[in-house]
Order: sequence, then C-alpha cells, then structure tokens
Amino acid sequence: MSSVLKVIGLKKEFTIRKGFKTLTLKALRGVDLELNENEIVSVVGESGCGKTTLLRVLARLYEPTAGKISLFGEELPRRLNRKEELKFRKLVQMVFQDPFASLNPTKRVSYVLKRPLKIHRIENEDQIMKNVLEDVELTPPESFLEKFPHELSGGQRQRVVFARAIITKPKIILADEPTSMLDVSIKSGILNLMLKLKEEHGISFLHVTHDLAAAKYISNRIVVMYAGLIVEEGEAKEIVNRPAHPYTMLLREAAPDPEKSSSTTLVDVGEPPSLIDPPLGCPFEPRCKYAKAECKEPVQMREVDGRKVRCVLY
Amino acid sequence: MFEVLELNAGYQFRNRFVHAVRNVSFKVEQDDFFGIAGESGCGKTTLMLASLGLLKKPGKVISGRVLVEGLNLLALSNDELKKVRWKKVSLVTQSSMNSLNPVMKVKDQMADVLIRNHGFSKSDAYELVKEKLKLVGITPDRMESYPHQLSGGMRQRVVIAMALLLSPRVIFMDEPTTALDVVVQRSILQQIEELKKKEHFSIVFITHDISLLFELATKIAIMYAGEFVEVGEATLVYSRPLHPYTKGLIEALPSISKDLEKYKSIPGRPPDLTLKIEGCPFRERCSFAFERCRVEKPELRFVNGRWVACHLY
Repeated sequence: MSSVLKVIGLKKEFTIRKGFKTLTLKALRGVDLELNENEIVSVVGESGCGKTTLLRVLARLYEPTAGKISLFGEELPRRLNRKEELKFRKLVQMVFQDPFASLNPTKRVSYVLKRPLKIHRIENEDQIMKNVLEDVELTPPESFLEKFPHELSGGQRQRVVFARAIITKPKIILADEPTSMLDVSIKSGILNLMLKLKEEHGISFLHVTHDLAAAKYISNRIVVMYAGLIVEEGEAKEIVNRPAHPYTMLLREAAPDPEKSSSTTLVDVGEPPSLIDPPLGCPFEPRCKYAKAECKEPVQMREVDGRKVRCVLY
Repeated sequence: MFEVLELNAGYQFRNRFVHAVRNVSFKVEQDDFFGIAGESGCGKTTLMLASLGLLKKPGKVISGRVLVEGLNLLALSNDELKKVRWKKVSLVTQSSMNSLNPVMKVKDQMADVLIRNHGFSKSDAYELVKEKLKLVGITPDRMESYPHQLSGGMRQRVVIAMALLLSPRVIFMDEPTTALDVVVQRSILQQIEELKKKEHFSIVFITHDISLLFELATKIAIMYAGEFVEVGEATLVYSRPLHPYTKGLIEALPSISKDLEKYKSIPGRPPDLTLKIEGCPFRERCSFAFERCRVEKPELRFVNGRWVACHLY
C-alpha cells in the first residue's frame, strides 16, 4: 500500500489576546499521520482535542505553524500558485458535519454540482452529474437535479454533499463528523456510502468523529487524539476491542453500549488540560489511574503488538 | 403515578395542522426509568411539552389527560400549574447553555422558582440550593458563578440540581447529555442513576440515541410519526424486537461491542405529519408491508410481553 497523505511533526498554534496579554493556544503539538491508498482512517477524540484543526490544516484552510505535509510522496510547499492550488483542491475534497449549513439554500442541486465542474473545467457536465448522483444512491438522478436543499431530507442532503465532493474524482476526502447530525436510521446509510466510495472509486478518507462505534465499523485504522497529540494508533477493531492507552480505555468505557451487562462505574472527574499551557509530560497524566512519576516527562510513541501507543505502561 | 392518556397534540398554523402526537398513552410507575426514543421530528419533544402543560402557541393540545397522582395537569389554570410544577414534575432540558440565564448567578436562578412560586424566604431558598448542588457534586462556592464560568458538564449538573430542588416524583429529561462529550456524558448519566436510587424519583428520558437508552432504561417506548409503535421492558425489546421499525433501528446501529460486517439503514423517510395517515405510518419503509397495512391502522396489542402496533402479530 502506498501512502497518499503523510504528515510529519505537524503543529498548529493560534494566538489569542486576553486583555493586554497575548497567549498561544497549541491546538496541534506534533502530529504524525499517514493515510494509505484505499483506506479509511478515523480520528477520534473529545471536543477540543484538535481533531477538527488537524482536518482544516490538511485541507489548507489553516496554515500550519510547523511540520511537513506530503501528498503522493511529494512535499506540499507552504504556498501554492493558482494552478497548484486548483490541482490540490481537485484531489482533496471536504465533507462537513452539518448538511443543512454546507449547501446554499437558494441554489438547486444541479447548481451545487456544476460549480466544481466549471471551476475545474471538466466537460460533459450533465452525464457526470447524473453519474455521481447515482453513485451516492440518489435515484433517479433527474428528479434530484432540480431540487432545492430544503426539499431533501437530512440524509439526502449529506448525499448531495458527498456527490459534490466526488465529482472532481478526488483521491482523498476529509470528512468532519459527517454523520453526527443525522438520525440513527440513516446514519449507517452514510457510513455504507463511504465504504462504497472507498471500494468503487478508490477514495481514501480521513474521517473525524467522536463516535467510536461508527469509527470501528468503517475504518481500517483508528487514531486517538488527546490534547493535540496522538495517543494511540492502530487497526480499528483491535483498538476498540482491546484499547491499550488509558484514555482509549476511558473512551471505550464511556461509549453507550446496549450490550453492557453490568453497569461498570467509571471513575473519572477530570477534564482535558489547557492547551495554552499544556503539561510537559503525558497530557493524560492528571486524569490517569495508572499515572507514575515518569509520566511527568515527555512520552514518545512506542510500538506494541502492531500498534503505536504513547504510554509508559508499554 | 404519572399517566398520560390518549394525548393528541400538535401545531396549528393558519391553513394546516401538524399532528405531532397521535393518541399516545403511557404510565410511569415509581422508580421507573422510562425511555422514549425516536428520530428527529417524530414528536417526542412535543409529547414532553404537552404532557407538562408547556406547549406554547402555535402548539395545541387537542385531547387527552395527564394525571399526576390523580390530578389532571391539562385542566389546571396557570396559577395552579405553577404550584405543581417543580414539586411533582420537573424538567431537564436539552441544551443547558440555553436554558440558563446568562446574566443571573447560578444561585439566583435556582432560588427564583422557590421564592416566587413556592413561598420560600431568600435564606431558606439559598440553603436548599446549596444542598442540591452538593448532591450533584458542585461545591457551594460555585453558587456565585455565572453560567459562562462553568464547563458544559457543570452547567448540565446545575440544571439537574434545579430539577431536583423540590424533590419531584417524576423528572422529564429531554436529551440531557446530547451536547456533551462521551466521557462527560457518561459521568453525568452515572450521577443521574445514583441520584435516582437515593432520591427515589422516576425518570422519563427522551433521546434519539437509542444505544444509550437501551443501556439505561428499564422500560422503553419507540416512537414513530407521533405514535408509540412498541413499548416494553428495555432488555426484552432490545433482545427480541417485534416491530419492523424497532428491528430496523437496532440493525442500523453500529455497536461498539459487536463485530458485525454490515449495518443497514432504513430506506425512505417518515411521513408528513400534516397529512392524515391511512393505515400503518411505517408501511412505506417496511419490508414486511402487505395489503392490510395500507387499509387498516394497527393498534397497540400485547404480544410476547410487550405492546406492539403491527399487523404481523
């Protein structure tokens, strides 16, 4: 498998002003990540852990403070000229959380789909539009082309967003919680759509979510983030079934599960650390029940049974 | 203890009526954890508002009764309702961010209802507020805080403490943890369960997160297009669902502990609630539908230990 996207030592800092003071918020504190061809990687974590920032930096919506991003083995320069930018946008597309907000309410579906074709000068518009609508299972396509977003249900809207994303034949889709606003009965439809697009179109997904169950279902690998750092990374089912990092264990235990036999009590009252002044050592140390003295020192990722864990226990 | 009988409610607009709650009856007994699950737009929040007498215009209750210890809430005047609310039934709303007044201190907004409607003196009210906040694990020095100074989890705890003020028998919770992170959600739910054991109240829990509900609730009602389609013991309904909609929901749910290869979503979308529904409301999305489903509306029947509205049984 060859990597389509590779990130080394990615950092992103935001400056915030508080009165006379200027503070730096360290949203990403050195993230290494690889996305392979034909692969879905899910990034899981609580709000504020930096997962959305990561996605936005990769989509070039934010400029990284430090670190290297390579696409298909070639390092992306800091600045792109218009032509390169266009090429990048064609290969890397985004899908957002809220399908109600990411479609212009005054435009018909056909307009939404035509824009990327116009921008990238792709010909044979009508046929392509019909094909992508069929790909996202909105059939018959003719009946959807002239509809406005308000005439569609939430699930159909999200499908239109996916249709728009795949219309330029991208290799990578960055998906920011694409199912969190959808109802249970249609959620798995969108997850299945992502699996289908991966299989049939060879698109790799970087999927940001807080839903561990959904991540387990669709992804090949899961990356767990905490306070701007990756704390665990490995094969999806392995991570969920046998979490190694204490934070992943906490996430796993906290996730709703109808199969849960006895009500195991969770002993946790902590909160993620402040990203303005993050702890030097393991970010999870203040909340961790296994914490030792050495956790106060910076902890590196280490390989354990085919996965990577940032924890001194291994 | 708390009973809703044949409640019909909805929203009246100039030329159309959205019939959001259709003939719903249920009963909450002592120590019940009654869960109501359904998709967005199925009428679950309307049901809650209507059964608490909180439905505001254009919302309207057409018929039905809500009995709290024999008292019909819907027949009471506003002043009488004020006396009952918070004392017999109370409510924890969806987004604590929006349900707390941002310019009022925590202690003042909690004490407000006590002083105004229940004849407490200021010092007595603050004393009670302190006690209830302690119950949910908030230290008394936080009483002086404004909502924005608290974290999301703490705000939600304040709202829960508020609902507990007068030790009501029944507490309605409308998606109390939806806006929170999983870990915070879990610790709040645990606290709710502990409090329930300690204070002996019943809970009516409304959510769209059915995996959560199956785990927590003792009884569960599945709501679809304004109606209950299956009501019963949560463990029974989860292990052997009968209604095709319940089955579909359970099959659609990515589960964290099962290693299933494929989850299926339910095709189609719920019917338009402004229209009169002929036959079974779920028939267009149902793979088992047959002729009878089109002409005759299924009633709730007692089958295999639970109530289900389906012609298959």
